[in-house]
Amino acid sequence: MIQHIIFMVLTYIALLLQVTIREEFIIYSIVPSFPVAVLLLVCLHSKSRQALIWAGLIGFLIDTVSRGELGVTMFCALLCTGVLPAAWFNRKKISLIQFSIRALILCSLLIFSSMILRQFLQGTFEPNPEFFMTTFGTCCYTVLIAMVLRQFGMITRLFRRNSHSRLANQESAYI
Amino acid sequence: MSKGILILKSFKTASVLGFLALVLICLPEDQTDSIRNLVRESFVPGSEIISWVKNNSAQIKEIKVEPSKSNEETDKKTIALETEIELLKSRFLKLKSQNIKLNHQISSFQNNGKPEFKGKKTEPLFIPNLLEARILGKEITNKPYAKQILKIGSREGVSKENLVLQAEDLLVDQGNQQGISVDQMVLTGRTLLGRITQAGLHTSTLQLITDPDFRSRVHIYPADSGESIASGEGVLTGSKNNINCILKFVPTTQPVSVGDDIYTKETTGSLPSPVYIGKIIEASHQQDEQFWSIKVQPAMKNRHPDRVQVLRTIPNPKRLSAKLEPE
Repeated sequence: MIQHIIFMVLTYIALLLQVTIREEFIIYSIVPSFPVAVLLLVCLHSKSRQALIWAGLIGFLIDTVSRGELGVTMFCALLCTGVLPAAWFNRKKISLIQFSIRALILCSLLIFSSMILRQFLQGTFEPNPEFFMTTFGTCCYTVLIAMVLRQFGMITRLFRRNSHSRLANQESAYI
Repeated sequence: MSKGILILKSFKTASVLGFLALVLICLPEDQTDSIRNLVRESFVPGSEIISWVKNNSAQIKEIKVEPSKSNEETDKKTIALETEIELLKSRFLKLKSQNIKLNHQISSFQNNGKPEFKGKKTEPLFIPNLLEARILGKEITNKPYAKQILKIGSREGVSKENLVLQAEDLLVDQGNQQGISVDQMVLTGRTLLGRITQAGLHTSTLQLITDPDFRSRVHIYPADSGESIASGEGVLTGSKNNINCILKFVPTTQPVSVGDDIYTKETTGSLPSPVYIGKIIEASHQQDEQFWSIKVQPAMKNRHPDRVQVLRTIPNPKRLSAKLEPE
């Protein structure tokens, strides 16, 4: 439960940073996505079903602070989290490299799919190398933030599981 | 719990949420805007905190920059500020002592009825004074109900079927209580506008110099002569057109020309100098006529100003204070 409260607080802070001081973090015209970084962290630290719920919730919140149709990022986040193997989620002992690779895959799928779908719906989709490069840069930057957050959480033991989670972990061992 | 059930549960969750997301995508913008606004409003307190932190951090940066300036410049500034403080201190002391002195004078006047300052007994007993007054006509006539209100009633013989005709006289918001009396001059922009014809308790009636019933003795001063001696005198009246004035009873033996200035004739002695009225714009006479036929253009620019000054005489406070002194 405490873990979820921490995730909620993190989500709020990430969205707040995204709408207020996002410009301060721009490097070479690459804009990070703080809510997506939290989404990666939350999804990769939760069970598959919980990860889906969190992905939907954070995706919906990202949509509310973004332009375009509501529900696009939510849909993409659900889709991307759903297609990933269930074994990727809720692993207690996961190395930083493993986390970063999984996070990069999830992040790339999410950001690319949501951006393409959004542009497609608006009728402004024009694939060009610059777009892909910038978007991939955003993905890398976001994963970097997620890694920093994960390491911070590991050091401060913010993401440690309670007894309920431990039981859930035992259940997930069957998956 | 078996693997299949867990997968089914996850699938169910994903399906429900996915369906919800698709519904949201299909919703029109005006409906989704309310949801967006609701979520965005929750960020208001947080964004205020962030902006406050940003502003404060900027101020801290500015403060940190200060010590990097050269010491010499800082010393100069400090010396200048110290000098300024000293000057202000001395000025403050001076004003403080002046304040004490004035307070003492007021309290002694209140206690003894004698002012500390002494006036001369040779001072004039009455002096001219201009009282600022407002024309009430505009304020009253602008109100929708005002046209139906008259300041006279049955006591003055007004009955139900009487006709109401518009009067040319203007109403000013000063009366007897403020020392206004009949025949006092009314000025606007230091030129003569008219005179008081009736003085009530709080209001008075003003007659313009262009009014046909207006009469006043005036002096003619030759234009461009540079002399301050009047070349003639006459009686100024209004005209029927209410725009210009007519100067009557100026003998043809007196020299009059177009452009000559018209001033009030000072008789009471209260005025330090005559008041300007206007210029002669037409002057003619027949051979057998005894008086000139003169038309005067009043100098007042606005015939219905918002504010006027009533020239009154008030007791001279300097003389009064001298009177209080023992013989």
